[in-house]
Amino acid sequence: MGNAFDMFTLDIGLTDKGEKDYQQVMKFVYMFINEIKKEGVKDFLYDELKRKSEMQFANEKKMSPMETANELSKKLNANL
Amino acid sequence: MRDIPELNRSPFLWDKIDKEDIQSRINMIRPDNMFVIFSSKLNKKLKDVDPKKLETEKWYNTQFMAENFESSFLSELNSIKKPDDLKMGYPEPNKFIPQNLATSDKFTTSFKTPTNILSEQGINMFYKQDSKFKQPMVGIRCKITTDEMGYPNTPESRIFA
Repeated sequence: MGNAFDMFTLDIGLTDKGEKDYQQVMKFVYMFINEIKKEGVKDFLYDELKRKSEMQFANEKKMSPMETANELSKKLNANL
Repeated sequence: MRDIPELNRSPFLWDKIDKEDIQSRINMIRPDNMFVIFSSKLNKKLKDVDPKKLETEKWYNTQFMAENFESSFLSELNSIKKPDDLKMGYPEPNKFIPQNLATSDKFTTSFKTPTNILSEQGINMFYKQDSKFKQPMVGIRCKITTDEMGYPNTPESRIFA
């Protein structure tokens, strides 16, 4: 999510049958969303994302000096 | 201003789960908030519609139509529940994400040259383990050659194979 405004978007590619009856597809989407709302946030998913992020950081590929300077300057600017 | 190591690390930090915040954002996903863009090659609806209802966008002159969903349909979406026999919901925990993230020092053999681990007709496979950087990554490089059309022994095959 952004600082001020953001959107949650779902892109769904449809088969010919799905195109003809796209409202039924929307019903399935909301079945899923309503199920997620009901079940609430799961600790294990958060934990998985956290561990994946830690792995990503530990094994981040070294950037070129130019990329490093570019990335750091953007972060510095955002955190002044 | 924060220090450089912290700046490098911060995008990867997941310190604390804020369930209430996440739940409140999930709860914002509602039918009355949504905007659906439907594009279809099969959709014949535009041909049946009153031309006065059609709009044309200015960049590509594509015709489109904007309409509201029936409120009964939105209500249905808002309260729709999955049937008990429909397997839909959170995925199972992913057992392939390791619990221990420390890099193993089990493999301390230093490989100076690749070892040929498979040698069959048409296939030669070499293996060399990295014991220096200890990155949990696999690099696979394949060179596939074919003798179809006499490749690479004829000029024609060099061009067309």
